[in-house]
Amino acid sequence: MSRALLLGLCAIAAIAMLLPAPAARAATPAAPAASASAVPASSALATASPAPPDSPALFRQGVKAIQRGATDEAIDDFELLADRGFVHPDASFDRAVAYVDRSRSHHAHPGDLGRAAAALEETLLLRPGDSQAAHALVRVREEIARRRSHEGDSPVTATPSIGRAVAGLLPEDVWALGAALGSLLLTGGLIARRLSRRPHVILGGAISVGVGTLLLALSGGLAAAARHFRTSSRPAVVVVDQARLLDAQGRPIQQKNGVPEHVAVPEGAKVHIVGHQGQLAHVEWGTTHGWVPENQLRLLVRP
Amino acid sequence: MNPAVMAAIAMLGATAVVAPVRAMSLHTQVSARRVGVGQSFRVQLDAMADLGSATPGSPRLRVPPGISASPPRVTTQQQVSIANGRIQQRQGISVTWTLRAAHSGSFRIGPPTVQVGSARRAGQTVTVVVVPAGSAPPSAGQGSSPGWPFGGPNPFGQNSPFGSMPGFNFNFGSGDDPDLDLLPSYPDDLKMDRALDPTAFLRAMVKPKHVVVGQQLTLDIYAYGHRAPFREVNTSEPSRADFLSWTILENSYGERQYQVPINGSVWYAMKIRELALFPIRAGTLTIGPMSMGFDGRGYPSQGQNLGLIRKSRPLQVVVGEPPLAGRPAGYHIGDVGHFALTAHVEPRQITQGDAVSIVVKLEGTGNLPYKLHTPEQRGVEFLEPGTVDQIAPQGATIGGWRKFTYVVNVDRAGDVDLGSIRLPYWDPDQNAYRVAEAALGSVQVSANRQAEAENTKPEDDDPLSNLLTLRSSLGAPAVKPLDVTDRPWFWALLFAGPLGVFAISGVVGLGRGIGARVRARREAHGTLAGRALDEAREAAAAGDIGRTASAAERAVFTAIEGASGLKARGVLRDQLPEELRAAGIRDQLCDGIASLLDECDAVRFTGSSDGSPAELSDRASGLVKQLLRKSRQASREDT
Repeated sequence: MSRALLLGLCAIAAIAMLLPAPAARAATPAAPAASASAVPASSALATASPAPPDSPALFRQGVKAIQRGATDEAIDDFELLADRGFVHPDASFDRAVAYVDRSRSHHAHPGDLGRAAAALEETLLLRPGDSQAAHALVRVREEIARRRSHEGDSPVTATPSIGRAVAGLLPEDVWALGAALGSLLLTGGLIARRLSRRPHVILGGAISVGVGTLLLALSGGLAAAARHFRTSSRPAVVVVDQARLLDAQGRPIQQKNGVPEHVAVPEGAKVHIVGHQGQLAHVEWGTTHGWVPENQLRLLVRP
Repeated sequence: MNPAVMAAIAMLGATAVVAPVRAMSLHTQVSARRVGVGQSFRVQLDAMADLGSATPGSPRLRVPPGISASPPRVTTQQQVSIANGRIQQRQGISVTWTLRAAHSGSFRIGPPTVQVGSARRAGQTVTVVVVPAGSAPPSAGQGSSPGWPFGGPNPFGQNSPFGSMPGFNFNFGSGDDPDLDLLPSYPDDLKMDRALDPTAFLRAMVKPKHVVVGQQLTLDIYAYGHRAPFREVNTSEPSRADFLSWTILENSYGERQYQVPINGSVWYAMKIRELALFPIRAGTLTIGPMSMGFDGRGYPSQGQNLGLIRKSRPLQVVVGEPPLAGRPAGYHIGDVGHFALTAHVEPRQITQGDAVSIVVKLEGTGNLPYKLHTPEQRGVEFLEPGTVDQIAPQGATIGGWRKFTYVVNVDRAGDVDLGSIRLPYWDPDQNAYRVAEAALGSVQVSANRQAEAENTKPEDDDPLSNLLTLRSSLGAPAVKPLDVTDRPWFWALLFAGPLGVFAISGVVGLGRGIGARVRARREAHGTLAGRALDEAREAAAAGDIGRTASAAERAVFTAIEGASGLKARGVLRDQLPEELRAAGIRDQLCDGIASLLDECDAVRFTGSSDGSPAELSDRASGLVKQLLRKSRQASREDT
């Protein structure tokens, strides 16, 4: 048993050690399509540049604009904050407030609710436990679906891919912690079995080896998968009424016999950008893949 | 009139419209601006008027003291040109004076004049610098006219048999290059160091090459023909999908063709397109090639009415975005230029619920935006504006004005400050952001109870109302994930524990195995027998026969045990040979063993031997070797 366990551990370790660091990935020639290119160089997207010192003042200016009903001004302020690379969950949340307010006004712009959903998704990325943002996101998506149904469009949802769904059950760091715990259990169990002659210690060691191996394999595998999804794709939200899915040449995808499942992504839907080609972004929406113009998406900022 | 001109007019007359009357044009040229004393030079005046109007005549040239002028040489000219489907026919004269300076200095000559009807019209004054003889550039082409191959002044004008004929030139070009110094001046933009093609080519230029989104750049395309003057046919425009474009020069039909020296020979060149382009996105953007057919003598056509087709090279423009540093809130990418805002509000006194009209005029050059930021406040609502504009090329720059007319509903009573309309923009000349702003002032709004009541009506059931509560201050910062999986040491540590246990166990096991082997080897029969033989040899060397016999006997017993497993020491001596044979040891060896053991017994009891101690030791050594060989053989057979 221990020989098989040893071989398994060696194999997992070898695979894990072969995973390059992020910097090395970016330098790999094949990587750009997946990782480096997933970050377009557009100023409409937040960048990693340090925020200038007047960003908090700009935030307060945006708040005041919302309070006096100047939603356009508030949106300008919060968008400028994002352009400057100022990353804060409350700034993203207030940006959502501004977009929701404008979507309810007479001068609503198409895609306002999608942008609000993007801002709320961003809030949750920056502060995963923000229950108000999570609740509001659900309500905003419900409102988008309601408006779509008013216009005769049926609500559509995408079946998430199994890999993303499972890896996304817990944060990547939790998977990593689980893997570390599994490693500790496995190590302790093996030592107990080796060093002790007492039956109850050997039994405990065996149980520890079993649980540790399972935990290490499961959490380690999911941590590696979560890392892969994080480095090879960027989350984004559709900010137009609906983003028509195109092929790599920019032609609309046609549905034949129900394949692919969807030919358009509705406003507010969260997609993952896995590549770029010119002005098109290769997106993964559930199990559906396709290309959409970049300007129909809002990239989400990670902390 | 020349028959060719008549034919052209007849051919196009069915569709063309006769051009409206234009004013007389006078064009003055001088063959050299710097001449030596005594050196002759020419002044030429081309006077053209529309067909049917008075013909110019009676040319005169006023010359200053120190300059002598020959009598004028007058040739008549006729010109036919087609522009935008319109035929223009002009006629006139070309007058040439040959002048000579008597002393050095700077002289203002002219202006040359002609009589047109009852009026005398003047050309331009020219200034000529006369330097001492020999220090001026060599005079060329004296007595010949540029572009006129037959010597002497061109009787039909400067560049063509019919004078300057924009866009429709019947000049039967010579192919010979006239003296380059006598070429009339031409725009610097046409200068080139080398030709891109031996016969004809297009050259596209864009200025500037590095711009920001929304900043104007100018695309100029020039055509060059070497054989003769040409005209533009079968043109395809350059692709420019990533730009908004304004046409400054739509075609070359009204353009003048110049003679341009390129690498020692004369080319005919003119600008055929000028476009103002505004990039709409950042990146390295491409302007596609333009193709044009060169139609004219010496340009072989590549198909019916195709002309000699040439393409310009595609151009690439690097387009960035204005910097983030200093960017004002509300700036929209693409708002680039120089702008000014003015606003007019009326009426200034209204009743609550009524509307005011605000007319905002945006003026300037550059990419005039289609939308302005309107001030927002509760109780004041700007409706979508109506727009009118007048935007056109102003020279090489696009500019003009755009008016936005807003209807603004005011549902709040009192003195309502409307705020101001702002337009942040990027000024490319100053490399800085600017904000054009127009204050709207305030309006006096008298209260209206009915409007007040409508304002206080509860809102419809809006699912998004009160959904989000504004966060007025920044709370805890973002939770930054550890991302430990990005670090190789994490994966190394993850597997280092279990693998380390296996590694240590392996090492310990290996050490134990090696120790056991060493011990086994140490305790092996061969080893023990060898040690006993060594002892026997030492005793033999010392002449101690008793100790030699004892050691030899011990060596043989050990070797027997190793070869057969028989513990011979416990076997009666008489039965030993049989036991040895039973154990598979050869007879001869059995006899040798028995003999040696008997001798050893004898030594033990008598204290002497027939042989020497060395012989006894050697015999024991030989027997042990044979027994050990048998032992190894048996071991191999077992394996």
